[in-house]
Amino acid sequence: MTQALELKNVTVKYNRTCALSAVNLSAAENDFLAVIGPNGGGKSTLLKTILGIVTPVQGEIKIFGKNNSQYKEPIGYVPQFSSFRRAFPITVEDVVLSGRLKGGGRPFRRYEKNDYRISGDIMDKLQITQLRRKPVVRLSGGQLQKVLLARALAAEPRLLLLDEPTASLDSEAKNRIYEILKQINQHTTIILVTHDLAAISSYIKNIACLNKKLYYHGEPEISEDIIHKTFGCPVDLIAHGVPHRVLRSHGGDATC
Amino acid sequence: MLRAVLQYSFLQNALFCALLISACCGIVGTVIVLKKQVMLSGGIAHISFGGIGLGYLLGIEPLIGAFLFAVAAALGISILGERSQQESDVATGIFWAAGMALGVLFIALTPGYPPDMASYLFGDILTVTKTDLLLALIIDFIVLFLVTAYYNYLSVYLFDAEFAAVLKVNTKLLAGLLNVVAALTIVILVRAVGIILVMALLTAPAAVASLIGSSLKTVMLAAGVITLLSCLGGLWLSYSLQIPSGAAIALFAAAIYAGAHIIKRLRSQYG
Ligand SMILES: Nc1ncnc2c1ncn2[C@@H]1O[C@H](COP(=O)(O)OP(=O)(O)OP(=O)(O)O)[C@@H](O)[C@H]1O
Ligand SMILES: [Mg+2]
Repeated sequence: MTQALELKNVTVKYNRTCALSAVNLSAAENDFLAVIGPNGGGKSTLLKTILGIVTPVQGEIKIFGKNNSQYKEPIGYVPQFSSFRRAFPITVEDVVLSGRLKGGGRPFRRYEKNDYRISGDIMDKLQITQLRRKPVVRLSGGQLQKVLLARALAAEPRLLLLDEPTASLDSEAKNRIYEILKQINQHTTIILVTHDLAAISSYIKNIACLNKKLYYHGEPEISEDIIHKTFGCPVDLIAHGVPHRVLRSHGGDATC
Repeated sequence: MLRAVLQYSFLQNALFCALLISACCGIVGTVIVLKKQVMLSGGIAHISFGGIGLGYLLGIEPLIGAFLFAVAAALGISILGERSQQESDVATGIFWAAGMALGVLFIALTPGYPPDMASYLFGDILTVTKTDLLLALIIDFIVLFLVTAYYNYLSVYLFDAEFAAVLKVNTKLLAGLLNVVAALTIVILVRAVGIILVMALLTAPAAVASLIGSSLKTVMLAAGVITLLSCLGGLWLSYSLQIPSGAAIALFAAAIYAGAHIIKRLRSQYG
């Protein structure tokens, strides 16, 4: 069976900083993989490399058996720090609809009934339908986060990459989003970066510990030792449900 | 003034020109203001002066030289811009000065009596020719076609370039295309209001429009209408007060901008 995602020996550098060192990682179809690691551990870089926004100096990335530059289907993505212009004249509905666009640039591409239906359903699920006509400038941080998630889901991607998508949400909204993720996980492979492992541990199927190098990849039952190696300090992640929020950046032994 | 318009063909030409430049200026100005590329467009306007000088030196139509220089600069700057914002900012500044200097140099080298450069610096919408109008029409056609054909892609790219790249939209091509279209529009604007005053028409209407519009479409449309109002108002000022048309148009645009901001202030204070 082809894997949904396969990274072989991927190394990424920003000028001189080494962000990822020889990472091997794979995810089966409909996997739900949580990526954890300290600040600066390369989690966001990992997602950007999969998307092709960042190019690795070495290694290969396959998405459903295709090289990531060859893979032309939509990939859902919710960035950690959004890159959009806040003051841009666009409504919530139009942002969500834009998720329906595909590259290739078909001229005179207008949104069709189908596009409106799918975006409408997603806005309903995330309970942002009442914000439909609001310009994005006038949204709160949490509302914005939901809009970005809706935009990513609107593409109906087979692969969904989420970079701390619930960081600014209240606990009710968080739980609702996890339920939605669980539901779409039946036919979607999800890679989720999070510092909040406790809240999500019952939804995920696998876990990856990343700090430049991949320290662990497998079932979400990890030993103290692995956590210690990844974070450079002991973290009682699952037992007490208190995630270690302020994580000391740990240089590790990783070299490029 | 209405009688004069019916009587003189140069006034008719000026009005046609105002109408034509409003369309491309509204669209391109909106893109420039939203992308915060005001510096870049100023650079392109000034680089075109080098082309105008070269036109005189070689004895070809100066506007053709201006088009060549502006498009080349737009492409050059968008390639540099891929590397870093700061690099392209610096490059713009250097192109800006070098373009002007080349213009002065070429004109000094041109044999015979030096041509009058004032109309390129300050523009003269009252002397536009049929050829100028035709060029403006062609540029309008290109700009309107691109915007209507790729509206949704343009909107998502301008809103969030990274997400556009994730959707596999060819953002490099789009950025290059936008810069070239901006260059074409800027040269036509140079003809109407001059190099020094181009910035007024590119920025003021779009900035005011973005206070009003709730989508890219409506901002572009409003910017076009405000550009037209500035041109008509400026022409009327110029005609009745006997002042140069380029300056009158630029001042009218600036006045609309100031007025809009005063209204905005008052509304947020008392509204
Ligand atoms: N654009 C960039 N230019 C240069 N270095 C970068 C850039 N982005 C990230 N880095 C470096 O790469 C490393 C990994 O960064 P990354 O953003 O992937 O970490 P992260 O695991 O997502 O951290 P966080 O938990 O804080 O979000 C860091 O050392 C960072 O300094
Ligand atoms: Mg990150």
